[in-house]
Amino acid sequence: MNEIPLNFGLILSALLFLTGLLGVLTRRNVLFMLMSVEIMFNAAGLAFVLAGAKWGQPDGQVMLIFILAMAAAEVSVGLALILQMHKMYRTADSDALNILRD
Amino acid sequence: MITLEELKWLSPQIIIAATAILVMLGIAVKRNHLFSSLLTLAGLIASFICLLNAEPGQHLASNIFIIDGFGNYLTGLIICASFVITLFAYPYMQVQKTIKEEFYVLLLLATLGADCMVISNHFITFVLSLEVLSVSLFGFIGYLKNEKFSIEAGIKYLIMAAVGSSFILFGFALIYMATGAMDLQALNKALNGGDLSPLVLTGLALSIVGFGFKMALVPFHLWTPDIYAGAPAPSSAFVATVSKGAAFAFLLRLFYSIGGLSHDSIWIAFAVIATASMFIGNWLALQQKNIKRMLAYSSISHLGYLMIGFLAFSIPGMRSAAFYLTIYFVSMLAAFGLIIYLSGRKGEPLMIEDYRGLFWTKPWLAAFFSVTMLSLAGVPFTAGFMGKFYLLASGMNSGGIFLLVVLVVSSTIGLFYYLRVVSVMLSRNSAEVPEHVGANSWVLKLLVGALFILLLWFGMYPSVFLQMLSGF
Repeated sequence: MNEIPLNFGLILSALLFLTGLLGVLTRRNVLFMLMSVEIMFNAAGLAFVLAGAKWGQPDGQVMLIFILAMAAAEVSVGLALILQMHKMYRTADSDALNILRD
Repeated sequence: MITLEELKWLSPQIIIAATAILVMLGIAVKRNHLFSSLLTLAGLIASFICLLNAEPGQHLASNIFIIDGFGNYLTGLIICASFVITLFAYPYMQVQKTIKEEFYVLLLLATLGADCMVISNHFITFVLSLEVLSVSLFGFIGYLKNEKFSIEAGIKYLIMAAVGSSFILFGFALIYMATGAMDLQALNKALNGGDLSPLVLTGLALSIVGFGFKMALVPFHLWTPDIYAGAPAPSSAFVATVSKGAAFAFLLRLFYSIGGLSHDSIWIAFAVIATASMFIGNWLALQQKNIKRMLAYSSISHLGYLMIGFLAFSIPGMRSAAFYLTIYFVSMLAAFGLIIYLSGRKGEPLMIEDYRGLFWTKPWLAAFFSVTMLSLAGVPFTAGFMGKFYLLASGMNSGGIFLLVVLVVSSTIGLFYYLRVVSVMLSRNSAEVPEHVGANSWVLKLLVGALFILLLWFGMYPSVFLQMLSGF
């Protein structure tokens, strides 16, 4: 039975993190930006699980559970804000948010 | 397992959490603005009294919390700041057209997050308290939900804070992968002495980016002015003081305990960030016409000054940073307090022009405001000067002369825009001040007076406060 090297997992989580970051930077829709941030959180969660497996500790998986719970809390508040924004602007386009500027 | 004794050490935090639940239940039974705010104040006072009775010395609560002099001092500072902000918020919320009571629940939860953050000793407690703080801040910033600017600020903070948290998380994951340790003592054992592996360095770099977002250091500062300008003034005051101070405290704990600052590359990275924050913060503040945006840029430069104490990497450096943080809290709270004092049903006086001729209509208030501005600028006999003096002293001992020169030069740039506010207030103008909440609130009047006295006291006789810092 061949084990998959740890580095593969590390590269995967780094790629996921970059995907999320690119999404936040390029997407204009606030909902998609929020989803991209979730991908970044999960990339960190994956890295924690890998690290836990490497050291044979349960701590990594415990971190993942907490990250999932945290992300859910964040999304629930975030969606409430986006809903309110949609009520006001009739769009979820982040370019509509332009009152606050120099 | 957490024992009963450890629960006693954590009682200030537990009381705040319980108060948040009580206020929430109180709202469910009957909505009463005064009752909610009084209950909040009582909870904060009880928590502070618990803190005063804390046993001296260093304790570990099952590896995830560390209770020591530094943590206790900052916990007390945060509780005091929240107390002041609660008092500010009552007259401010009284004139808003939205529901008022939940503001205090969010305030207490955010305080809880910040208080847990300054005593956390483990990645998990830090990350959780960071999220408790951030998630309650989303609601706190977007609280005026029928105002476009508040919602806009809330959404911008939501995205920025989430990106910042994910950087911190990913960085911590890499550090954990390289060392197999998540609490600060074990990290210290795993990392101290040897060279840092590329994995650890990447992890530290990513978490520095995340901390940069949280503390609004250049080049991660872009969100700050929008949030400050859009959020209701008590929330801006909270973001400017408590949230930044708590993030700074854990940054200091993390890098002091793993000895990261003895590595040149990390030290230089922080020195570059500090220099950029001092210069760019002060430079951009010069060009602002909106006073809240000006305060935002000013707070960026102040965090840059604070990094000098951090970079000294010594116990005196830590003390001077804690002292500067105290002074920064008082000055910022005084500045936002005056904005709240002058805000009314029609909104807040946002533009510097709104303060034209304030000296001739409200001489006392204008005098307080001038002293606050001078303190932020660091003029002698005000608190800001003493803070910078101790930062310089601690930086001098550790040999970072370049940073000290930057501090002095950029403070001089800063003097211009602070003095511009004072000169606008001094200019002749016959216009009347519009109706504002401070006029019939003796609490606000007392509070502004107390902050004024505190600013002068710090500036002339700081030894009382410095004694409190000798515990760590």
